[in-house]
Amino acid sequence: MLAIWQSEMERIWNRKSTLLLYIAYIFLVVAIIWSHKVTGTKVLRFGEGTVVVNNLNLPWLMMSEVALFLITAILPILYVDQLSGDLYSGAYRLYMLRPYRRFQFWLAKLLALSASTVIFMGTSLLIGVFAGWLFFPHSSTFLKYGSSIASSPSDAVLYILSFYLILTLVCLVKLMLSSAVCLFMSRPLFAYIVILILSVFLFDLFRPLIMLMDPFQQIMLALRVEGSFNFWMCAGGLVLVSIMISFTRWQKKII
Amino acid sequence: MRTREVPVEVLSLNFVVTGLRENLFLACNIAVAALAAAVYTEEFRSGQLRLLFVRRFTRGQIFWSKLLVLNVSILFLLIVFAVSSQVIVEVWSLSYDISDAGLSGSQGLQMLEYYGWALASLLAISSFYCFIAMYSKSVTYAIGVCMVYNLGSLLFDSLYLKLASFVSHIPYLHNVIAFMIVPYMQHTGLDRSLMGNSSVNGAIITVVSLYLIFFTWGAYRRFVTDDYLY
Repeated sequence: MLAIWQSEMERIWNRKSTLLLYIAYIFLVVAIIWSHKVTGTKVLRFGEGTVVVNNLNLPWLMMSEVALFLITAILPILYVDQLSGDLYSGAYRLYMLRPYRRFQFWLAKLLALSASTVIFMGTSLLIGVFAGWLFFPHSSTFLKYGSSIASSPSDAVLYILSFYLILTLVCLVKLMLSSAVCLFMSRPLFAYIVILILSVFLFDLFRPLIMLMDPFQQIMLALRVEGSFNFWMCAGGLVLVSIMISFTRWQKKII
Repeated sequence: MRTREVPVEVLSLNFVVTGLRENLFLACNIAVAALAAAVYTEEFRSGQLRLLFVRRFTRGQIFWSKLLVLNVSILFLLIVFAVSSQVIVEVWSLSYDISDAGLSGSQGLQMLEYYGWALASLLAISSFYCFIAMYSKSVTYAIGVCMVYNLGSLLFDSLYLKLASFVSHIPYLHNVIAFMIVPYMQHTGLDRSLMGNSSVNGAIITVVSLYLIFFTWGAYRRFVTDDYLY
């Protein structure tokens, strides 16, 4: 199983296009950090006011726009290219001659894409933390989202790590949704558009599902002390439903 | 959407234009990106073009015919959009008992003018998307890069406009630089052009021409010179 996961990782990362996507992502993160450096403040997009950017809040504040790009456009490129692309090009017909059980191919692909997502997340976390310490004013306190009580630097570490963990989980929700869609639409063009349309319109049913397009505010709400039951219910429910649809479809699909 | 809060009675007055104004800079651009990826990247990367080149037409002729199909499709989709918007207005006028739902002469002219500018902006962005489509490794990358460009230009236009403000003393040049971001031109420039501002109109024409010449040429060079043997 480890060998097939490793093979999937190589298939993802040995491609020049994946590396270009990764470099473009790094440029995007740097550009957004630079824009915060120029302005010195961050205007939150949902009318929550303006925040002064410092070393403790940069790693999560910068993700307001980065997460929007990542979830709406960048990660679906990787997911659809790997899931639909391999089915559509016929690569799986050869690939599945290898002596593994059918579900292991599915699991390995999803685990490899999850690991790639973690790489994207980890990169932005590292860049955010380093840029915060090097280029932004050092502060001894920071304000959590929606709170007026100052928190200590040790809280900041936990807050940032929790933010990135939940963001990674949201990315995995998107991955599972993509996997369910791609197994029904093996043509990449249609798969990408259907995922985009679902992401844009699903939140009309349940507001927290806006996480499939613009997750920042929902994650911040989920991080509050009182939590956000709707967020966890939507994320967990969508992952479960998508896994069931994707797995059932994969087991029955004629490759 | 800005129009969600507007009452139907007000919305129905100019819905054909308002509907396009709301959708032009994102939904229409994504549709154009999908068309460009389908017409160019898919055939370019799947190997279908190799068979197409066996036919007696030159590569240049095939490229221009594809571009023509793409642009005619955009025109057709715009007409469908206008007609279906007007049908919605008619349905509203029946169900909400609105008396003055028909298009007056001046409204019709304004609509034609707006749709003309919208078509020009979509032709400009279609050239750019063709360029991206020809240089993309797969359909997913083609449409994804177009999406990133579109989202990026909508989110970062304020930063870019700071750069453009260096030449704010020359309105025409300022507009040309600002409108180089086509989605910005679509949601801000086209409204200003309807007010009859000649420097805005000139800037839009310049930007559209530049896009058509530069990016169509780039896509054409790629199309006719690649060996397609991989």
